[in-house]
Amino acid sequence: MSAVLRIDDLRVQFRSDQGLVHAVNGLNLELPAGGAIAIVGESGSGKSTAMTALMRLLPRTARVSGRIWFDGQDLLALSERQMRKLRGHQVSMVFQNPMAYLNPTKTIGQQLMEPLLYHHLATPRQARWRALEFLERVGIADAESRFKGYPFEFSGGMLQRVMIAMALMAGPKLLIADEPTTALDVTVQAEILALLKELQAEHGMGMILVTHDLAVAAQMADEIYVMYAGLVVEHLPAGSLMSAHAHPYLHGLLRSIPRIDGPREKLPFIAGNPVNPVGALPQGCLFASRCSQRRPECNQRPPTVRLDNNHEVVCWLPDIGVEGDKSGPFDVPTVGPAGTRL
Amino acid sequence: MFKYLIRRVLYIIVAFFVVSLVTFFLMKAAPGSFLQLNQYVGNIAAAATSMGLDNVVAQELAQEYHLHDPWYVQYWYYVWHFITFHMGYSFEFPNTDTMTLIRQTFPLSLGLAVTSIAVAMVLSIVFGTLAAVRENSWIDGSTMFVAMIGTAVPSYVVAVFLMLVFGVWFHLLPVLGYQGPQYFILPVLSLAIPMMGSMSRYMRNSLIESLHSEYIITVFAKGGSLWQAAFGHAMRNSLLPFVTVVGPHLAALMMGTVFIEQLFGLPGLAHVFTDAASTRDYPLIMDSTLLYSLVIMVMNLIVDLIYGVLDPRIRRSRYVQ
Repeated sequence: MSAVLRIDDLRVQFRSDQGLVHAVNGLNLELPAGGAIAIVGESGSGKSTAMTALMRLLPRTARVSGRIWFDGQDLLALSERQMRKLRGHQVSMVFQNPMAYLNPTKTIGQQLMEPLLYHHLATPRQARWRALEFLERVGIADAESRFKGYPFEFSGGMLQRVMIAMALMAGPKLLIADEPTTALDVTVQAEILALLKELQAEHGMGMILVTHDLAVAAQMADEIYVMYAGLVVEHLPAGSLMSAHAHPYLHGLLRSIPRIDGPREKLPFIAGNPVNPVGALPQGCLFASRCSQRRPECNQRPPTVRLDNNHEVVCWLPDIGVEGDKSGPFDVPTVGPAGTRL
Repeated sequence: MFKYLIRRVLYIIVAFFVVSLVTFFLMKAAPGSFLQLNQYVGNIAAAATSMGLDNVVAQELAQEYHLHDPWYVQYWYYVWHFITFHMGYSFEFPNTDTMTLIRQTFPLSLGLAVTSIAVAMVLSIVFGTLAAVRENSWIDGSTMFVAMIGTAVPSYVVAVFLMLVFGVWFHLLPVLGYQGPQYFILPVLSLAIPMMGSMSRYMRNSLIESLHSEYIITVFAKGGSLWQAAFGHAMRNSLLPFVTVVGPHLAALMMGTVFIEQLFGLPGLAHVFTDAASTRDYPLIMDSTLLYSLVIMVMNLIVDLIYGVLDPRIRRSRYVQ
């Protein structure tokens, strides 16, 4: 299957008063046509920045390098004019907080029609008709009267449905959903995710889901990219997430998910702080300072090790698994229980 | 919105009575009585004193103005006559009642004020938008530099400067009197330029703030251009705070027209008002004060109604309560 999107060595830096901020430090990923991938990482891991760089919507203070191949062209090499023709037409984006990302003083209908009108894809009449059709498709009852409503007259879940409809209006080949359910209630969250998945299959478009929720990632995507400090530390098929994950960071993340059926214990967590992205980055592995499996080699940049089809890990000790590693049984040391620092 | 309008109109009525009471007592508190005609410069007074009839006339006047009645009865007559448009006669011009005087001069003053505020608003929206869209460029810098000068210089200085340049040096525009629309250009500019200073700075800052909102990112993500984002989306949101600063300008504008009408020799109400104040022409002072306050209140109401037009959250507030 040919890829609809390939990102090669994407780097994003910001100039700031404190020094250079290293937001994304060499991101590689590939999205098969019609496929869905998830980018998972904690706050500040660079996942949203990378996607904003893809849309070329970063502020001017950002320095972006690398290549983003979409549909046979490098997005970073396009002129602003050419890029504008792609946005909202070939590549669309759904944002985290629909209440803030919709204009409070324009009707839902006006805002829905805009992707078609900006790209001269339809007359206002046709656009209106298509907008109504899409409102119904995303599950908004009484579309005709809601069309004239303003954002403050909708609930958060309804607005996110509107955002999704808006993103799909012009029939994009790629949809980027940047934490689409983070601002919503848990019950609404499931509905929105189901809707996204349905529409993705229906339109045969590629989807990148940005999330910090491993469960959502496993449920929605075919492949998962785990980011840490602006780097992908592991890429694996969603099906292997529980059984075959290899990076100590991912192991720590999975261990820190509370179980609903287990005894009520203090939750394990990954000790230490994320890498400070301001100024020069550490020499070796970026996770080394928090990693229990740290070895002398970790003072050098770790290699990317291919473990399986669609499964790579950036680590000196790639075959760490749930069961153990070369140096013996895994004594569950990656994260200390109840805050013990290892 | 309708409820809101009703409430606002009620406020205006209450405020109007307060203003009328205050003027009434200020006039009463002012030293001297207008029955001592020899202190007066008005035409009636002069005529009566010269003929030695001051006592007779004074009695007649006291009768006519109910001066022997208690204050609340006097106040009631005064309000009643204003409401029914029987405003009495000016001391200065005993043959014209004040209503006629006001009717002759008020349209010009109102026209001057409304035109200036309109010109100031339109131009500051244009300049503010240009500066905001090209934030931190030379356009931004130079526009805002000129705006700062505009804020710092009062309207009567601007007026003198404009008179000098356009009237004296280049002979392009008339500087005195009123015989046609071209006589309006310099007075309007003199009033508008100082207002434009602060208003265009406000417009710029408020538009820049709107342009940094999240929903503008959505517009770009949909494929919109900077101008589509600025005019189609940010503009309406940034007009809200902009309109807020227009309100306070209205009161200052009324003061401004007084200076400007004097400077340009325009036969407006301001002229009548200042003359009335200096000659203690009570009926004229009281009526024009009431009229001025009424105009300011109505203009503020219009500004508030524009709010509703701009922001659906205010317009549809009956849904939310």
